[in-house]
Amino acid sequence: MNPSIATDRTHQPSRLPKLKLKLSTVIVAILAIVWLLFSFYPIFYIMFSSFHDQKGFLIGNIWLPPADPTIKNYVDVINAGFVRFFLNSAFVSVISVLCIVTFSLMASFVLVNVKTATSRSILNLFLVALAIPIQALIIPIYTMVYRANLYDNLWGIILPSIAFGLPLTILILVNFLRDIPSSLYEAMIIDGVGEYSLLYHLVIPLSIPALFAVGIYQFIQVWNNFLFPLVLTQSENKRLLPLAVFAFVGEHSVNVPGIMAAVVLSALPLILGYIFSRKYLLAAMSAAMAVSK
Amino acid sequence: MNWNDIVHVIGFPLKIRMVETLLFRRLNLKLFLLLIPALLFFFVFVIFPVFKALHTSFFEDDGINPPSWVGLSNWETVLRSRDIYHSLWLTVEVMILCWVVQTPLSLLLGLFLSKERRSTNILSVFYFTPLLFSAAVVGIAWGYILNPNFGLLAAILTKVFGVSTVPDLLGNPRVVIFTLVAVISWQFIPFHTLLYQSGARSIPAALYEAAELDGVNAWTRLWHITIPQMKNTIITSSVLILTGSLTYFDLIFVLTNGGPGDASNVIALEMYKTAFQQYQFGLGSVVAIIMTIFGLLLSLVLVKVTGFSRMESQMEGV
Amino acid sequence: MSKSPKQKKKMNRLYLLMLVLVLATVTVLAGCGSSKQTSQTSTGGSSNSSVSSPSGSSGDNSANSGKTVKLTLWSIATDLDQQMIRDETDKFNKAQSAIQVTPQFFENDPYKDKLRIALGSGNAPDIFFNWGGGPLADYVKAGHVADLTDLLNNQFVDYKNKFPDSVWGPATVDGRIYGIPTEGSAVELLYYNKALFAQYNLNPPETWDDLLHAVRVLKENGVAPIVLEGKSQWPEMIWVQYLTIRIGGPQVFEKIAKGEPNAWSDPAVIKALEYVQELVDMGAFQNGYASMDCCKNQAEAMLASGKAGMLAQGSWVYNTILNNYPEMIEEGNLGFVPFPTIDPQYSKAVVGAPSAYYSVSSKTESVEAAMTYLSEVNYNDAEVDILINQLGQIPPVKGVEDLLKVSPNADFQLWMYDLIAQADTVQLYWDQYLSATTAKILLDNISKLFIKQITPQQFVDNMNQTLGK
Repeated sequence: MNPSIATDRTHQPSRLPKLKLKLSTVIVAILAIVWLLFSFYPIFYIMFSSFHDQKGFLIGNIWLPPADPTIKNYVDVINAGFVRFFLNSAFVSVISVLCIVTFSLMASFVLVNVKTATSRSILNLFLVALAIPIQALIIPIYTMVYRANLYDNLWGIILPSIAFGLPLTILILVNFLRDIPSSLYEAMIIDGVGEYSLLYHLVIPLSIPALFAVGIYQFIQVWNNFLFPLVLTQSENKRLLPLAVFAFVGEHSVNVPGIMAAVVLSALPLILGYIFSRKYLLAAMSAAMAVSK
Repeated sequence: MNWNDIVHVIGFPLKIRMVETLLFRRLNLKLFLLLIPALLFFFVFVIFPVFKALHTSFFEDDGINPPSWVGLSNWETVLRSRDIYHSLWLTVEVMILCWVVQTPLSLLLGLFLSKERRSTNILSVFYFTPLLFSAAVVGIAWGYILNPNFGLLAAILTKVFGVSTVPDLLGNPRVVIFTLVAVISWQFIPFHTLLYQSGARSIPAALYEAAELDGVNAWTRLWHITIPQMKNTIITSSVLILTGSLTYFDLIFVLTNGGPGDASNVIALEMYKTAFQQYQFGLGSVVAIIMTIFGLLLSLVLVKVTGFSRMESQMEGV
Repeated sequence: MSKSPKQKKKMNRLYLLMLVLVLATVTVLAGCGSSKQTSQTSTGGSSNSSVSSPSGSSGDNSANSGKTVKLTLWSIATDLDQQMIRDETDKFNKAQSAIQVTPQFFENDPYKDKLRIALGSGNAPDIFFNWGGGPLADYVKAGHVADLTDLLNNQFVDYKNKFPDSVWGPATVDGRIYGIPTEGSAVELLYYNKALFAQYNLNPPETWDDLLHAVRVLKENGVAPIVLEGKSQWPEMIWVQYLTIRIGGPQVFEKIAKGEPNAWSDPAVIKALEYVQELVDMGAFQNGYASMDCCKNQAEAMLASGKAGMLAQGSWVYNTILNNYPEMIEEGNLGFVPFPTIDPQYSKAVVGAPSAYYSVSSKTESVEAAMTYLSEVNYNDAEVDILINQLGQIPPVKGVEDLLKVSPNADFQLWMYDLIAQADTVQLYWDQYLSATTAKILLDNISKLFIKQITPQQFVDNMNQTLGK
């Protein structure tokens, strides 16, 4: 077989003349646009609603951007302490994700390389726990958190979040680490290297793509978590972003454009992060998925 | 052609699992230390609360008075009423519908996006955004869009299509579950698309080219090459969809709060409402344990059926 | 594959280690629990951890001991109301240094849960807003609320005399007072769009027959007769509660409240539920009523724009309309009547509340400091002025009638004032009267009834099971 023509088809730009417009391409293009409208329009709607003033919101052409946009809602959100909520969310998410990824990598390293019955049982234990619902445990966790004096404390959210991020992360990392060939390990062991060095010098560098991928996934999960802060915090200065949107819900009325502005601001960091790291994220996930096959 | 030819020709770093070698024969202390943080957190915040919830289920606890022992009476109350079975049924419905809706769409989108083109790159950015919003926020936004009197959908239907009575998608008990599944899918299809996209990239082109040489059409290509090659991705994605929809709470809470009536009262909501709206933590704990048992069973079945814990290389036998 | 002895030993060792781990965590957590009691501070949120002298008894004048008492206050006020509380509290804080109060504001729906969790876990705020009635009685019986009766009868008797006697009812448990009134009186009534009614030659819906006629005519002409916020559940309860009163009198619910067996089976209740279902069958409620949320301006928008003819809601809605659709009021388009009558002997009863309440936590550092703050800020002249003139409310203080006469919203406020004054019974909203658990069950059943998921008989059976609990 001639090596020069058998390049990976999925990466090769099409060599066919672009003039021919097949029916299937047209259909695909239409479907793609339909999906674009369906998936992105609601977000577009949230964004331009945030520039509406409250009274004009329910009347008039609501599917188009407002006639006289205002940034008052954004000002209100920031005045309501948005910066504080943002910092709280950032603190909780960053620390949680660092711990989740670190502990999971350490555990996965052991579980992949020690092939005894017990390690397999522990792995199965983590897997099976994947389906244990957070909500089911919120009552005892709430009790534990306040008895440990961590109620209304950001650490009270961080600690359980770490625990709940572990099963999925371990699952993904185990599948990833499984395929690091033993030859690489053996080469280093022959040189007389110990377990910790193996972890540090071999496994970590190789698993950066997977770590990055799970890290991002867990970051989104923790950032957007609603139930934990709902139950485990109460003061305004401990509030996290998902709850901050509810600051615009009053006893007898609701400021909807205000809510929309809060929503946009709270998703903005994630959106920006996504735009800038998209390529890297995709490469990381591809590498992770490829290797896990 | 032989194995080495393929590797050489494609130039793609295939990793082939060799015979499993026992790297470390025993769990020595140094390794165990590595395992401790994960195990510790897991036991304290996952395993222990399960037992604590079980413990609470035997008490009557309203949150402001000291709990009092009631034995099995909470269990009787829950298991005798029709509410729990209704909730479990709704949950199963949601799970199945979510899978049926999300998997084919994500698969097709993933395949579509896996071809590296400028247009697909730009499109992926937009496609991915729903995932970045928290479920509560998605709920608020869609609540407005679907509002039959003020919503976007209503406006489009009446002004563009001239419909006279806008369907109440969130207030109609027969339809509400489908509406919820649609919104949930809207949010999560991007994630699964990403999984399938990544999975599709690592299908070796050789297989497609061999198929083209044999004159096989697109449909057969899809069914006999693509899907089997993506078996692991499909399994991963499916496991995540099923376990995720079992515990789904945030969006349904915001959009319908289990209503109208109890038409969308999935089990996570039933638990929350019993515990935090009726202030009966004992009863709520019973529902929580039932939820956990259900989840564990599901997960055991999935692990067994899909051989998840021993995923083999797709390359064997090529 | 059978295990070799070596592997068996490894397994046993690991299991042992795991067992030790579990036992260790359990012990640690149990230990944490007991240490909590001694380290508990009484100032609520951890942002306010202060060094305070453990005064304990209420007779002690900790305000003068030289150490600052720091108190937290929880409220759900928004907008102008919230601003008023912040401003007045600021003034109070700046005028002296013995007592410093920090208000914290919460959103309405999660507030009840938050409060309950806080009270139950010992993290309660010193002063907290509540609606009195059943939930407050629950907290009192669990020992979380401070008894204010003695202070009110002695040190703060002048403050007590600001209020008419009827205002203390919902905050009284077993003859002792556990709350200070706050916010304004409220009643539930029927609003209607006068222009629409004029257009179709309809009488104001003062009797049930008037209402039914209006429903038919409006429906024929493509207008939603009644706008209902079904998703929030309690707006639906307005109909059930008022119909029961209008058909069988307020005494029907009083039996229910006492927990008399089968009290829900009263024929008045069943008839009321049947009337509701009749309305549903007639299509009296707007398209999508089951999914409309309260308090998002939507119902008010429909009423104001003529898309709906009637709305049964509370007097606070006047405020919403005033702020968002002032043209409706300026043009004289906003009609308001008491809930339509059925049996004339029951036409004077009113559903409402004299006020909401501030209660003081039993674990607070100084009940007296809390009372000092409340007596100086709550309903001081500045607040009363704002409540009447800018918020359109009626603070339940003596002599308010004169102040109302010169308010810009005198029409509505005086009407409401007379309505309450002449009522033979003022019944508290059912979901505030009953215990929180029963209230939620009631609301769920009402919600199912309104979409005809259950029959009136099933509703009654379900509710009878909650009696005596």
